[in-house]
Amino acid sequence: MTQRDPQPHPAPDRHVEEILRSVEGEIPEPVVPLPRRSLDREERTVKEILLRMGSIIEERIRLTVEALETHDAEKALFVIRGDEEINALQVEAMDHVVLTIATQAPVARDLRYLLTLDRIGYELERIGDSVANVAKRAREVAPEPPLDGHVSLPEMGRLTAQFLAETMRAMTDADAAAAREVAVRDDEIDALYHRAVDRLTELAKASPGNVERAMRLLVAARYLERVGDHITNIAEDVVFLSSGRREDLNP
Amino acid sequence: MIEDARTPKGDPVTTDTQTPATREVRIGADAIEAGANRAIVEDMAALPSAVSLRDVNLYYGSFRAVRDVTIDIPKNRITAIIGPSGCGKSTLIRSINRMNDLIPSARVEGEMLFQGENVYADYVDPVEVRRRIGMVFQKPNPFPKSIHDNIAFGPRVNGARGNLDNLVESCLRRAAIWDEVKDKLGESGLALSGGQQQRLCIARAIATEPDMILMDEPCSSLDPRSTLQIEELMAELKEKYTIVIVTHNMQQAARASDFTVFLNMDDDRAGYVVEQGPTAQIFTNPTNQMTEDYVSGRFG
Amino acid sequence: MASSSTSVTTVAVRRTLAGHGPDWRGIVFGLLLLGSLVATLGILVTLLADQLVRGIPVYQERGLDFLTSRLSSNPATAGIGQGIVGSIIMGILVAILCFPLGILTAVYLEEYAPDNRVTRFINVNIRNLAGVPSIVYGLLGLTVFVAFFAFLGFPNNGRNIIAGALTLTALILPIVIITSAEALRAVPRSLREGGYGVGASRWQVTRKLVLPAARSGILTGTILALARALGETAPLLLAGAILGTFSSPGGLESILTGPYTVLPMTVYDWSRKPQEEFRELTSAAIIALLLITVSFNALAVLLRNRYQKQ
Repeated sequence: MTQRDPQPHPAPDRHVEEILRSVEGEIPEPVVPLPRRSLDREERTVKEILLRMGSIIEERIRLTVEALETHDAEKALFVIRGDEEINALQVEAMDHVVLTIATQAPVARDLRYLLTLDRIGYELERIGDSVANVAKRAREVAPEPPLDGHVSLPEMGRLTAQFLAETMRAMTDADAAAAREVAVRDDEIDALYHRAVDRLTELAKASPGNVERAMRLLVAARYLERVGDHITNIAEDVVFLSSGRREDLNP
Repeated sequence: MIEDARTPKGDPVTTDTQTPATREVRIGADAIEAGANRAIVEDMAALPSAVSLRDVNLYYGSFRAVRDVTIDIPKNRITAIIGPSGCGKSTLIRSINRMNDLIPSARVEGEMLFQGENVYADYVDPVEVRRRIGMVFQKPNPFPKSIHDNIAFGPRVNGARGNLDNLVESCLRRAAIWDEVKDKLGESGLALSGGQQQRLCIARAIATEPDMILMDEPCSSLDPRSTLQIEELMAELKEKYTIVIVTHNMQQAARASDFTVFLNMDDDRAGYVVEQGPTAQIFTNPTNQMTEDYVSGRFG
Repeated sequence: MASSSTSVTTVAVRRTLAGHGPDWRGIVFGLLLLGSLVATLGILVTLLADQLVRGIPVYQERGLDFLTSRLSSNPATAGIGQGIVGSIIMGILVAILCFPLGILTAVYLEEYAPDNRVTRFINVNIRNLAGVPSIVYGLLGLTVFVAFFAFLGFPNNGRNIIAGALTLTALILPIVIITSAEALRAVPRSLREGGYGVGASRWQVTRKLVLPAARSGILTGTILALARALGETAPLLLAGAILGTFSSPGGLESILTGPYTVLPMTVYDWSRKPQEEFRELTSAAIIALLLITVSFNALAVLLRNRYQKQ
């Protein structure tokens, strides 16, 4: 802005207005930011559905770990059945995204935002699915005595639950740095997974009576490791959301 | 099914984001079966109607412009009427507030019920109808009077006396234009920009405290910004008024309306209703193939 | 790029942009237009100058006396006083009679009458009436209005200024109706729709929206029609303005019911007199008449500009 004219320019007089109208079709009006409330509301709605999904899934992970540790088949069954609820929420989120794109025709940031939220919803649904599968295994081993304290599975469970919570918080705050931190820590889950695999292999070789439990726990560990990968994907989506760049956070 | 979803610790962790009373959320197997579309869409039949059209046919002389229209306009919602040019949308909307009475050859058959009474009954005074059902036109047409008198005109011709300053201010506020004109109420309404003029016309329409506002392509002569501004305004207005908007801009209908009526022209060039329903449904999953083709821009 | 090729290109571009030389046809055409304007003005100015040269001395010699003196066969004392008084009263009477009648008729035809054969027939015939020669209206005035007053026993065989005003009203009524109707038609439909849209009745829309919007057009038309009426001679010849001299006792009643004359009549009368001195007087009277006409036109323009700004 030039410094020499601190006074605001006067509005154009009648003659100039007529000229402007005939040439431009309109007289100039000061530009004021304009909220798009319907669009903003829809974005909020989808985000809130995802947050609800996230918190439900986090809860379910903890329940699954409990079910495993306390041999509670009922709890495990509850988690298994509850997967439908998570699927329904994902469908709801997706429908909102489709509806919003169809009716509000978002572009630029709004469009990227909605499409990314849709992806996160998909990842969350996959996590829910994996958790249900872990619960199935927990239910299967419940009647039998624990195999070496279920190896590192409970710790994997607690970590994934924690990482999920942190990632969802990063999504809410659009905090790329926090998302990157969580993604890096996925290595811990991988390490625990490999430890579990080694230990379970060892146990299986040690005695045929262990084999069945070991196999089931191995499958459960695999699913928990997958949960970690999905969480990393969500973290990558959060980074894209906030920075507009696609980064591979855990090559 | 919902009971199972509760954790043993207590109520599920939920954040309530939906508007109350109209959203039916299905959780559980039902949602997947029924297609969770149902979860975001209002049940049209449950809403009260502001205007009901039953077997309405509209003629200009012997030419039938609109054929066999039976629709319900829900109260306190925005209903969009879309369709290709010339299919009778404006004819239809102008017959609701009897503006077409001004055209001598215009003729109406069928029933048009406004709050239960037939708008075309013998005892009905069209002037009174137009007081209760306001109209905003395609090209902004403020009176060549001051901004204040533009708003005051309607109430005055309907018998209001005395100082109308408060009414004028309240109407200008509700039309989201008060801040821009509060210092120049005495200036001519024609000195405003197009978008401002149209908001002035909206303020004028609500000055007579109508129940319904009809808008005949109100944004088609405005720039995109003013258009969005008026759409936001409509979303606020629907709390108090029922709004019907004719638009040839499908994106506007998709963005701004709750319900949509799709009118098309048959071989005799008479308009007829192809489909009507919640906007969400019409633009994501319409039942009629012709609707699908039209909204996706494949004809018209 | 080599500079030589650049300069070649530039020269070529410059040549194309510079065009093919001056637009001779356009210039000639402009000059022709200017020429016809000059010619027209020239004729008018010549006429005007001629009259001014002859007539101004009268004002210089006699001044106000000329404007107030009565008609007389003596050129030294004859004046346009009675003519001016007559024209003023005529103007007022014609305005009172003609404007409401004409404007309301136009309002009916444009706003209320249904568009059917009868209405169209009426409109066509009003246009025809506007083209009828003014002397025919004089005959009408004589056979109807003057006869009417005579029948009622009015003095001077019914040849009074009211009958004259009625005659002139009949003459300019079609014009007033046509111009008012045009002014009403020029009001955009969107204005009426806006009025109806807020629940105004036809009467309210007409009175509060349409008429104010058509105001400038109607005023211009009526004022110009009035100016024309004040300049008419032929109809009043038949309908009773006095040639020659007369005197009236004064007082409203005698003015309205007694003999009268108007300024154009005075001009006509003096122009036929043989005396040389009456040449000057005729020119002086013409100057007065032109001044009145010009001021009416100026008034019309003034009002039109004032109302058009709104």
